[in-house]
Amino acid sequence: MLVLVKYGPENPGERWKLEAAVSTDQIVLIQNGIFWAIAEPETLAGKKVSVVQFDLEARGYPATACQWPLVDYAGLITLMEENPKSMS
Amino acid sequence: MKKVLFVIYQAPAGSIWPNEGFRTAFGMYADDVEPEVLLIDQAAITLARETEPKKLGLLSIKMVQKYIGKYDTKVLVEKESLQKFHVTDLDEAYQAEVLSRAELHARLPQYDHVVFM
Repeated sequence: MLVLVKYGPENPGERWKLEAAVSTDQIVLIQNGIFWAIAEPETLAGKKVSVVQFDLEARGYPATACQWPLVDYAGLITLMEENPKSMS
Repeated sequence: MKKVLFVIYQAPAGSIWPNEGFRTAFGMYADDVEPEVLLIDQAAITLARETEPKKLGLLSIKMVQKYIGKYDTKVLVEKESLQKFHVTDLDEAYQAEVLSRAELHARLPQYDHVVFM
């Protein structure tokens, strides 16, 4: 299942999603969802995570600020095609 | 038929999302989609017997009960959220099933899409 996270750690819905995600789920941090990687990376431990690079850089963070793979929009579409089920 | 779970997490007084979540779910019956609605966090108070935004002059939430009955829409609520917000008197007109967070997490793979609102 593709898990799209677009809000940061202040959002209870996103926290619920991340708790629910299992190791085989593909999590994508998009928009303000990138703040999980910056402010609360421990929540993502053991999970399969990708981060939308444009959203990271638009918020002033270099690619090196993030320990997870970065994707561009084409990469995001590929992940969506690979995971027909979604939680968004 | 695809199964879609709509997850609502905001309170019905002060946000429109519980109403919108139910409304969107009911709209799914026009397509080949089987919707269910899950209430977590502050949205769990939606199911309390005394909760009614109409008391503030806002859109009624109780109005969705008519359609829950008409379409037999499955409504789920998280047990931990009910406890967190001290909801003990549930309005049975919502026909809600109370499940623990662990039970809800285990249930997620059965849905094609889970949409947070």
